[in-house]
Amino acid sequence: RAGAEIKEIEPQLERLEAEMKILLLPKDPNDNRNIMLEIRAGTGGSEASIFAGDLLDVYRKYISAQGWQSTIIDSSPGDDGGYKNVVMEVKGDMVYSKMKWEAGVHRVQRVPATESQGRVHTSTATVAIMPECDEVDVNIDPKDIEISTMRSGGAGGQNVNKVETAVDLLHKPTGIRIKCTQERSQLKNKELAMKMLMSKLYDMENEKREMEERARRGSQVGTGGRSEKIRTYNWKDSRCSDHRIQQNYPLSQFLNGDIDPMISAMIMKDQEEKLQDLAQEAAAT
Amino acid sequence: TVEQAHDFATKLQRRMKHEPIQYILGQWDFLDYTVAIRSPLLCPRPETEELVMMIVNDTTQSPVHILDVGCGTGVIGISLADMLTDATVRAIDIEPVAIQTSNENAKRILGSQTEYRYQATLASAENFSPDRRFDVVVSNPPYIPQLDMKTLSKDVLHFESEQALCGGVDGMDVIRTIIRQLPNWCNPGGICWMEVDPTHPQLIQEWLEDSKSLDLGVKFESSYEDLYGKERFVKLSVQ
Repeated sequence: RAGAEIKEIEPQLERLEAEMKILLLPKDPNDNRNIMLEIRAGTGGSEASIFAGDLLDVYRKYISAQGWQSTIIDSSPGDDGGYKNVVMEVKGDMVYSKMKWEAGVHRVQRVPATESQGRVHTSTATVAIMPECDEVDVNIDPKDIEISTMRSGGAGGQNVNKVETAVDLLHKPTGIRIKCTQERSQLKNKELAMKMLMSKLYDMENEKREMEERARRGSQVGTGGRSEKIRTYNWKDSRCSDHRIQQNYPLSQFLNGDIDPMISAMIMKDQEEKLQDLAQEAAAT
Repeated sequence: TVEQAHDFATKLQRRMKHEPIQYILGQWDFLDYTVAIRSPLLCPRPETEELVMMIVNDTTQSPVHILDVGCGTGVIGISLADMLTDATVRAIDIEPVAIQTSNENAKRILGSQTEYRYQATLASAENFSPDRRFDVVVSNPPYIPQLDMKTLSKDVLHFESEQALCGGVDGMDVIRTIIRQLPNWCNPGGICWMEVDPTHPQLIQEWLEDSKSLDLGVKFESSYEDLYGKERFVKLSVQ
């Protein structure tokens, strides 16, 4: 009788042990944060911009399915569509924990819409995922910031009613320049631009730390560097390949915004590596 | 839809005649709020957003009773009422549309709290004799000097109320009226914040520090620059 009970309990024990191990893993302190998502067209001219726009569409679908909210902060349209650059704020539950796996260089191989002779081109777009932060995380000296607006010069005040509320912010020490045009209130644009700047600075510090951490671990899940090629999307083969885990997915799945399987695979791989790391450390002591 | 296209075309026509976009749309954003904006009221400028934030950061008193002189669309008083704890606001203007719009915007933003926290009434600065005294007086009075009026662009000159813009020869007419009224309106130690023409901070300081003006009972505290580097704001105190 006891023997039968043991047979029942054993698999449960194993499962609970596995769950416990995962709960004991060091957590990424940024996992529950909202993010600034930035997509920048890379090599490939106007086709790269179109691809950046395609990526944005995919993320929008995913964000909607997750029940998150998104707001575009700034964008520069591409010559034939899409974006040279687009920044979007994404808010919701545990956004960073999932979206962080999209950071890196995405490569596309297809015949561009603008291509008249049917040749396949390879273009890239870079996705940056920056956890949102506040003054506690990042200290910015007001003296380091130069703000300019479209309206610089001229009388101002009651004399003028120009609704150009765009704000251009330059962080002198790092040279980071941020333009914010989204809101109809200048002060709100200034706030948003500051938020973006803080996210970028925080992200820079984070990235450095994470790269060191992953290099130490000899991680295959990637160094998290923004110049790392993480995926290739091949239109002819209808395939999406993730280079970090050497897995392929149907392209249609990706284009439908159904990227959860890829993200879950990355999370699992990351957990496996962390578990191995933990085991090695334990063995060494 | 056809109606939407027609509506859009009509609005475009109005804009081509330089009508302010805020009037065409009937509303615009001020800080975190979307407010109704009606002709011929002054469309709030970004500098006024700065004025409000300056006051919010400088005011620690609670409860605090505020007077908004020349309230227009009401944005100054309403934002302060929303952002400061336990603040009540009286607002005055000589333009009936201002009173209507301010009270409407107050309901939009303050909701049920409007009843006991915000009231706009028709009155001029010269004639206003309130039944209470205030801790803070704030104003974005008409401050453009007469001669500068003709340099204004069409969208301002032809559409926004001249009464809301022109402050007389040196632009200081309404400002002077307000300053003279401060001892009647304020509690001792009361503060007055104003948005002004860049020529004014110096004029105001000279006037108040002149020995002949001592009986005015108002002290010049400081002037502040706006985002564009213009001396745009003054802070005064009542003895």
